[in-house]
Amino acid sequence: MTVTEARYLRRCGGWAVEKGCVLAVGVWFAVVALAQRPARALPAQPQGEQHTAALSKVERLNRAPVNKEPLKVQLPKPVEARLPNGLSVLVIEQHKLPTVAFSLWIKAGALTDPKNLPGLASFTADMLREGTTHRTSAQLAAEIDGLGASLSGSAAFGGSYSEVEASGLAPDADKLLELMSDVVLHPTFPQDELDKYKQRALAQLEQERSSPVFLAHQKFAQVIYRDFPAAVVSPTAESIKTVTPNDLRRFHDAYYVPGNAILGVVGDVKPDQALALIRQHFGEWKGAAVRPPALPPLPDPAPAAVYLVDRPNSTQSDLVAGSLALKRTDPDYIPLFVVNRVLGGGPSARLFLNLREVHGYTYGAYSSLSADVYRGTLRASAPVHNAVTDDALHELMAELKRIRDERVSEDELGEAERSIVASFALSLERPAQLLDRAMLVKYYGLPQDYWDRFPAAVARVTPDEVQQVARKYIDLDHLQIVCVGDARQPGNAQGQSIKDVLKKYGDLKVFDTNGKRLE
Amino acid sequence: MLLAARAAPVKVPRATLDILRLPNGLRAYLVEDHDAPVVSVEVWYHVGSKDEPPGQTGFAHLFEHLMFEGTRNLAPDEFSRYIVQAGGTDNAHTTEDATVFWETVPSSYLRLALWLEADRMRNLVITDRLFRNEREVVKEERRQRFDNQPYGTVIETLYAHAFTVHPYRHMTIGSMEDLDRATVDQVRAFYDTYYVPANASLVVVGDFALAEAQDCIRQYFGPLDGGAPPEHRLPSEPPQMTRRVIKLTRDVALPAFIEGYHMPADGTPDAYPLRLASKILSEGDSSRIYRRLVYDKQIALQAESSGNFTEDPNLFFVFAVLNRGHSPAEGEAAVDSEIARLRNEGVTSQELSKAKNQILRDFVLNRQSTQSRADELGYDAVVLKNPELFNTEIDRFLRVTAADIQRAAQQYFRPENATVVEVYPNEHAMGNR
Repeated sequence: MTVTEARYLRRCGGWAVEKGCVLAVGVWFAVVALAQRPARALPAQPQGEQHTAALSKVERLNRAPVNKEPLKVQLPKPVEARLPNGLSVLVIEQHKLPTVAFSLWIKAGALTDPKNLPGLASFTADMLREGTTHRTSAQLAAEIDGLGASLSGSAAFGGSYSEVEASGLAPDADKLLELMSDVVLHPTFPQDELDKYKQRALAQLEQERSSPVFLAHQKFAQVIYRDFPAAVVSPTAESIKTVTPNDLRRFHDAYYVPGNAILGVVGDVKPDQALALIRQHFGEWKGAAVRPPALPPLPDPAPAAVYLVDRPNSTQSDLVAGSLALKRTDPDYIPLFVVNRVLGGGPSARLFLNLREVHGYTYGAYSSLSADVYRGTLRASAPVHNAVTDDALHELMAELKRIRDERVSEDELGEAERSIVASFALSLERPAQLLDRAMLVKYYGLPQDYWDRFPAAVARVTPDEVQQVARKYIDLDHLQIVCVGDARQPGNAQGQSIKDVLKKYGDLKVFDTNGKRLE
Repeated sequence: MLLAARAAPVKVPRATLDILRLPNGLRAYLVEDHDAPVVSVEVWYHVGSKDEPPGQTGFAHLFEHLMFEGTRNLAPDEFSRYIVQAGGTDNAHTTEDATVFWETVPSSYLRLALWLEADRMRNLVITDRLFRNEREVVKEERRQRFDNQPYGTVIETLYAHAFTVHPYRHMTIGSMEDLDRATVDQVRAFYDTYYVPANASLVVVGDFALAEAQDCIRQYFGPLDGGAPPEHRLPSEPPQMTRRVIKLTRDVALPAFIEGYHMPADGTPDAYPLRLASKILSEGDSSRIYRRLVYDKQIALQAESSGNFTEDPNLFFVFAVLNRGHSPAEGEAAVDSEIARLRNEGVTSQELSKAKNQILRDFVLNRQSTQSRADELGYDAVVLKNPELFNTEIDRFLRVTAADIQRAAQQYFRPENATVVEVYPNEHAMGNR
C-alpha cells in the first residue's frame, strides 16, 4: 500500500526515495526534505592507487561492547491448501496488526506477450479494475477507496507472472476478497474504459523517456536479451493504440484460471476463516492449468560492447555494466547472491566503498542480481558526475575484475554472509515480505524448507566458491556497458568528451533517447 | 461511526511509553514490545535545514554525512561495520526540522547501538580530507536526486518564491555554491552547537527490557557534557497577499504545474482537516482531482495533492503532469474549480469516512516495523513536542467533521495565498542532435 503523504514520504529510507524520484513523477514534489543514505567512511590509510587493498582491511579499534550471541531466524509456516478447482492457497497468520493482504500470482506474464503486442499482460492486469459484470470502474474505485484499501493488478515487463494484490484492514477481509474475486473472475474490459486507459498509457510512455534510469534499464535489457522477450521493458505507442478489448479477454480467458494461480494471504486472520472466505469467493472459478507458450531459447551472449544513450543536458552519466546470470532455481543462486553482496549489495559493499567513499564520484554505487524462470542478470550501476565518467567506469570495471581475480578474505566474506542472514531476519518483520517469500517457494518449486535452510546455506559459501561463481557469471568477454549521458560533455580531467571516453572501454554504439542509432 | 460501520472494530494498537530525562538534558523515549527479536534506536537532533543561515544552505544534511566518519574511539568506517556485523541496518536522514540517525539490530545488540550513538554524539573527529570527500558525495546526491531528474528542480523554484523570509525558502540539499563554500571550521562549530545532549532525543523501540535499557542509557549518555539548548528563533513568513506565478522551461516531455498554498504547522488543529482534504482530493481512483483531471477529462497523466507538514507553517501542494496538447493554464483551471468546490460545497459524509479509513490504514501500516514506530515516536516527541501523540494523534483525525474541512479549505485555499510554478517542455531537449 502506498502512503502518499509528504509527511511520510520525506521520512522514508534512502532506497524508497531514490526509487520514488526516478520511477514515479508523482513524488517529485515530495523530496523537499531528504531521506538520506548515510555517509560511509574512507578506509584508514588509502594510498593512491592502492586503495583496493586498503578497502578490505579497515582499521578497527574494537572498543565497542559486542555480543557474540548468534542470530536465530524462525519463519512462520504457511498453511497450504488446494481448492477442488486447482487453486493453490497459502495462509500466514500474523496477528500483530489488524491488517490483511492477499496476493494472487497468475502463471503468465509479460514474457508471454505476442511480439506485435508488447504490454498485453500488463494491459490486461491494469484493466481488471476498470469494470466487471457487477461493477463499473467508478463503483470499484469508490468501494476500494471507501475501505481505505488498495487493489490492483500488474504484470512487470520481463516477468513470467501477473499479479493481483489487495490489502486493507483485517475486519474488511471478506469485502476485500469479494472485490478481488470480482475483478479477477468477471472483468469486462469495456471499450470506453480501454480508450481512457490508452490515453494514460501513451502519456506514461512519453514521460518515461525523460528518466535516465529508465533509458539505461531499457538499453541494457535490449543488448543483453536481443530477440528474447525479456528485452522488452515497456509497451510501444503502436501496441497501446492497437490493443482491443478482445485481445485482453483472450489473454484473461486463457491464463486467469485457478489451475494456473497461487493465492497467498497474510495478516490478522485464522487459516480456517481465510480458507472459508477463499472457498466462498474463489470456489466458483473454473479452468484447468494451461502452459504459456514455451519461451524461445536465449540468444548466445553478444561480444562485449559499449552503448551510449545520448541525453543532452544530463548532469550525470548513468552507468550500467553486466552480463547474463542464472535462473532462480539454479544451485549457484545462493553463492552468486553472496558475490553480489560483496560486490555491490549495499552501502558496505565494494562498489559503494570505492566509488563513493574513496572517490566521491557518486551518491551510490550498487550491484543487483535478478533471476526468474529464465536467466537473469548480474549488473553493477552508478549515476556519476559527467566529468568523472572515465574514472568511475575505470573503478567499476576494476571491481568487476577484482572479485574474479582475487580471493575474497574470510573476514570480508563473513561480514557479507552475516549481513545477508541478518537482513533476511529483519525483513521478516514485514508481513508482505513473509508472504512474498512463501509465494516464491511455491512458484519456483523450491524445496519446502528453502528459507529455513537459507541462513545456513549462505554461511556455508566459501571464498573459493565466491571466486568460482564470480568468474562464471561476471562474463567479461560478453560484458555489456551502458551509459546514459550527454555525449559532448567532458568525461575526464583531460577534457575528452564522454563519447570519446567510452571508446576506451570497447566498441561504441551511440543512440538517441528515442532508440535511434546515431553512430 | 467510522469504526462501528465494520463487521468488527479495527483494533488500533496502543503502546506503553516510558520517558527518561538525564541531568544533561537528553530525553529518551522508550516503547517496549516483543513482537520480533529486534530493536530500533534513533537519535533525533533538533536541527534541520531551517536552522541554516543564508550562505550556509545544505549544512545540516552535509553534517549528517560526516557523522559516519569516525570518532576518538572509532576508526573511519567502523561505526557501520559494527552494525553490519551485528546483522543490523543503519541510515540517517535530514529534514527541514531535524536530523535523524537510526539503526535496527537484533535485540541482543542494543547495548552496542547505544554505545555507538553516545560515542558519536560528542567524540566525532572531522578531518579536512573526509570533509572534502563527503562534500563531493553530497553534490552528486543533489545531481542524482534533483538536477538530473525531470521536474527535479521545480520544487526549489516553488519554495524560493512562496517563502520570502522564512528559511523554508531553501532546500535541505542546499545550493552547489554554498556547499562549495563550506569549511571544516564551520562544520566543527555546527557540531558543538547542535550535537549536544540538550538538543537530542533518543528513541528506543522493540524487544528490550526496560530497566536494563534505562541503565545502559544512563551509563553511556549520562557522562556526556549537556551543552546549551540552541535557540530556534526564525522569522515568521508574512501572509501572502497576491498570487505569484513563475514560468519555467525544462528538459521534460510533458508540461506540468504545481500550486503551493500556505498552511499552518503540523500538529495544529487545522493540520488534521487539511490532511483529510488531501486524501479526498487525490488519494485513490475515486478521489476528486484524479477523477477530474486524469480519468474524466484526460487533461493530466498524473494529478495529486499533498501537504508538506512541518514544525513551522509550510505549503499544501496540488500538482499535475499534463498530457500533450494541454496547457498548465487548462490544468490549473480544472484544479482551481475543484478547490472552489471544496470551499463552497464541502465534502460528503462518504468522502469523510473514506478519508478517515485511509488515515487509519496509514496509521496501522506505520506500526509495522520497529523502525517505523521509532520514527513516528521521534517525530511526535521532537517536531510535534508531544510524545503522547504516538497513541492519540489518530483520535484527532477521527474527530474531524465535514464542516472543519470546508472551513479549513476556505481559510487556506484562496487564490491569493498560492504560488504557482508552470513548467513548459524545452522543445529541443528531447529530440535528436
